[in-house]
Amino acid sequence: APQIQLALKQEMAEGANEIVFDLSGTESLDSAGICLLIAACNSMYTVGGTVRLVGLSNDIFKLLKGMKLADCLNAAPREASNG
Amino acid sequence: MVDDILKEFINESLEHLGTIEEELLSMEESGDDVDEEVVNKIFRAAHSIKGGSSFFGLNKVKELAHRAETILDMIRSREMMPNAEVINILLAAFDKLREMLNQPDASGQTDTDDLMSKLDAVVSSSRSAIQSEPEEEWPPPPPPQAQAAPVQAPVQAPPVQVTPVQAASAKAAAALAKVAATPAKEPVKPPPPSPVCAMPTEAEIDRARRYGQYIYQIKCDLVADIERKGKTIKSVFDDLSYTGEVLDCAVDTASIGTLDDAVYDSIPINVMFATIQEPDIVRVLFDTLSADNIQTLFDLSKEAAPAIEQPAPPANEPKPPEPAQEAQKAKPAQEKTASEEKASSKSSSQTAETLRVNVGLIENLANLAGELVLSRNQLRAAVSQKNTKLLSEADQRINQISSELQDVIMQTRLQPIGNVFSRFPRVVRDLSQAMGKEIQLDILGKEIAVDKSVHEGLAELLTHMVRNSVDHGIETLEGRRLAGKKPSGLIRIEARHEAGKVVVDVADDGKGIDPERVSEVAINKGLITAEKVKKLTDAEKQALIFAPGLSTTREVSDVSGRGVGMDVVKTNLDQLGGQVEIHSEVGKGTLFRIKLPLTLAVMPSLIVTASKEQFAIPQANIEELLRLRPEEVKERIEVVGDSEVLLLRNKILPLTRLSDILGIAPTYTDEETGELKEDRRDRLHDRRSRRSAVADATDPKSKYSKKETTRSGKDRRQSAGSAIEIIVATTGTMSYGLVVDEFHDTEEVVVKPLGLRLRDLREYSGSTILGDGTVALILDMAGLAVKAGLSSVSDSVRAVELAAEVETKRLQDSKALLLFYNGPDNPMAIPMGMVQRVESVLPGQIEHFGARRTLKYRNGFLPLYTVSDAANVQQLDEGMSLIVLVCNVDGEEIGLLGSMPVDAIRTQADIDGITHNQTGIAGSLIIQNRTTLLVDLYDLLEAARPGGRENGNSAHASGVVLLAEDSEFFRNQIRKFLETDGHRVITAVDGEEAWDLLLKNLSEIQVLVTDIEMPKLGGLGLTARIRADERTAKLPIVAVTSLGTEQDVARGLAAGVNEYQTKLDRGKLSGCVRGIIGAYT
Repeated sequence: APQIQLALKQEMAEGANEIVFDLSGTESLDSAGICLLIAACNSMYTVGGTVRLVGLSNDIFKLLKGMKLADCLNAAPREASNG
Repeated sequence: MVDDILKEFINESLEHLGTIEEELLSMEESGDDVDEEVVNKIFRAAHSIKGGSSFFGLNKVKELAHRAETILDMIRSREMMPNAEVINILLAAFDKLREMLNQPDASGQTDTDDLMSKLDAVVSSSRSAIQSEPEEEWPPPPPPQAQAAPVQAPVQAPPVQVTPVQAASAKAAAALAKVAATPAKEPVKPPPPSPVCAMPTEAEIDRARRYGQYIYQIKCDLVADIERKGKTIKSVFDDLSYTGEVLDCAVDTASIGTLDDAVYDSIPINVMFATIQEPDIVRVLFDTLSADNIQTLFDLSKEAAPAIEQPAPPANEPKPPEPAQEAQKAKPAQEKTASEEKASSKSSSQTAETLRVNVGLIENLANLAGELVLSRNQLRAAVSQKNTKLLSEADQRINQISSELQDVIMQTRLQPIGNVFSRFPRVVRDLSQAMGKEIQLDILGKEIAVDKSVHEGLAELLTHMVRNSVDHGIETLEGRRLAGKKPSGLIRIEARHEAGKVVVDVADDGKGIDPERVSEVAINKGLITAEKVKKLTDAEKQALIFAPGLSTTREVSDVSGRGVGMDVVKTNLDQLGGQVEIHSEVGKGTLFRIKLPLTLAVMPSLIVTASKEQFAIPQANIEELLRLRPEEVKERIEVVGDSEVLLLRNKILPLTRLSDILGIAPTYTDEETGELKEDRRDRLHDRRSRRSAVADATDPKSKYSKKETTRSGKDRRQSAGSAIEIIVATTGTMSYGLVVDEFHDTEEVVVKPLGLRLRDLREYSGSTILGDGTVALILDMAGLAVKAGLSSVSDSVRAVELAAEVETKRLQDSKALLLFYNGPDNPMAIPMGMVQRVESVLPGQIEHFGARRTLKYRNGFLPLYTVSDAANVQQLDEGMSLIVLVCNVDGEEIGLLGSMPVDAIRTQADIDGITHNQTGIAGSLIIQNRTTLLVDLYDLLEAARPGGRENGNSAHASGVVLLAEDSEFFRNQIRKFLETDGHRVITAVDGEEAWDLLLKNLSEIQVLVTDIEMPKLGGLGLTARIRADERTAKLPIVAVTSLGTEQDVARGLAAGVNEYQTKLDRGKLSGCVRGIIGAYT
């Protein structure tokens, strides 16, 4: 997570205003992952950008739905993801 | 009559009312935009209730319905807006209607004034409002069921809501206020997702109330409280969704910060969670959390208390509700709950489709369902971890929960028996008036609860019994006066629980049942013979009233004397698994005592096996279990006629084998090999191979004497495992013994109805799935008795007789065969009657003279033959253990060589005379799934002996023989013998046909050869008829039959048979027929 965090920070510094996480290779999400996503979301919010999650596994999608985070993270499940 | 219409009206009205609540609520939700169809539907319901109640004079109901109708009409015409207040009052009105309709008699006393004036007020205020300022009058519509209602939600609560909800909401608000304060400390700019859960909305609380849910707020840190304590976030959310419903969840995203400052060691979260789990269980579920983390926002059980004592609104509650408004709302709401309670506690609904259940029970059920889910989780965890300790814990828990669950569900099916009893005052009153009797009816134990399934069957049979008591039991006024009784007769109906059963007594103080009178009627109607009646006790004679077609009233009355009364009672009872006893004393009265199982849906049953198949026998039908030790068998089981009976203390019970009734091949387990083998014993007390039967088998007449030779084992009944297991079963009116292979445990079986195709099988009452997953059929003991031909009237006499008939029928169709082998794969059979003895021989004992073989045998030589001498079959392997079947053919002893093993069986298998027909083989049959060739010894000898047998058809007189035999096989065999002897044979398949043929060919026929057991007219009947008719009285009659006991022979000779022979003793038969015909000529 720290590496990703670093990479993301750099991207942001370069003026990116949309972060798309492709989680199609990810099957589970721990607290660090969730924190990272939220932190990314918070950061983007400050600059008026957005975060998108695509390729979510069912489990992860369900979890984010359950945590009511799916909407603010613009999460899309695997089938419905369009990039 | 009026009662029925009233009942119908009430049922119909209640049905209308059943859906009204939902419709009213949907009407409220749609507000302005009222769905006309819905309004119309409710309007029509109110209208029809009004109409009906006015017809029945239920004025209060009518008035109330009328007012409701008025309001609905205004809504329909859009003069009134269906706001919460209006709907509330309508709901209260319909609740009241329901209450009154449930107790139509008491409806006159119901207080409806308050409600009526409210309804009136709504109407008038609405009308005035229309004239002035309608907008003010109409409160705003209720908030949508939003998930993100503001904290102020309680203030805006629509007035439908009961006050306690607001109390709960207030509490919640207080709790949430704290949460809200926490993020407020952090001066981070507000991130998009809300850090605070929404309040439980009114809809959510309402739903929680309906489903008996609690609403909890769980606050924790996913990192510190979950992940660091060894749980995953996913598992927590899975638990949440398995055990309840996440109403809302707020992650305090602000505290996590941005990518710049995140350290990822905290995710504060706030979950609002609705579940039926009680607080302590929730605490267990989230065991890593401390008690402070979990707060109960809504608790149904505590809801009642704060309803009156409104707790002070929390300090930070922005707009506390106005007390006046509050009180106003509270009142109808309270009224509503009260009436709901009344309605639910009253389970008097008569409709069969609906079942009224106490709310408490449902809550209990919901709790148990929740616990079941928890246990499932435990089980899943145990399975995935392969943790056996956990597994056994889960097992225990599931076991406990499911039995509790079953208990509670059973309780939901229980209905007070008073519902059935309630019809009897009317029945007795009407009947006694019509019959000029005076009868007082006492009903006791109305509150006794019985299962719904029992309820339905009970109504009909009790009606019969009560009618019977009024009609036959209680005397007329004159009769009572003469008997010195007080003029008013008494009928007592009483229900009570007794030893896990429901006992219902129907007693009268009338004239009692005269046993002589009943038996007289039974004899006159041909239900029983006079001789049998002599042997009956008084109680047994009284029990004859349950015989179909018996009615003791002298004239058919239109009440219950149609001769169908009491046997209906018995039939119904049998179906319910119940029993009936009669205690009656002439002149004093009669007591019918019915015993019923509490429920039919789950039955404690004994699992038994018969031939590897498992069956369940309801315990209600089991009187006792008997295990007869081998040495007891002979004393306890006797043959009467042709059936077996069990001597049980001073009773004689018919005895039957389960496998026989159901037509499965009986088996036993071989002690040495552990294999399951076919049990070929005809009789339970039949001791086969007690010792080597070779020396024993000398009496050709006895059908038990020629058993197999040297079976290696002992008599299997001598070993411990061979005890006979008998269930003494009762159908309520009779008892009988049922032999099974093995008893197993008692299980509570869940009764599943049989499929469509099996439903007509009376011997099964259902099926069930046993603990090990196998399916077992549940035996219907009454149906089995019917199938076995056991009568239920008088067990000691009639049943024995019927059992005898069944047994005879079985014998009649069966053939006694001796099995042996030619080659190892060549099973052979020979009719038992042909074989005199079975001897074992060593190959060295056989002497060969060219193609001929002989055996030194009893001071002489026994010519030996093998089947392969004539038939094209496997050659006899002389290296095998050889046996010689010593047969008598036309007075000459010959030996048929074969090999072990040898066995004697009785089979009903069909003989195929075509497929394997060849010289020396009469045909084939399937025995133990193997094709077995039936040896035709005469044919065999003819072919094997150069020059053949002397059959002397020219040397002896020949004549015309009438042969009556129903078995095609034996008919053809005997005909063949007789024709070989030069006789002409006329054949008949039964006694009647034989009689016709005899009369037609009177001048020709010289002798009758007849079987004893035949359809239509048996041999003995035929003989009697022949002897009774002077045209035929002198005809010689030879009986040829397999019924070979001394009694059989004696009976035959007594009937007028000249000669009595065992089947297929050709020599004897030939000689006998020859002798008779010779005497003619």
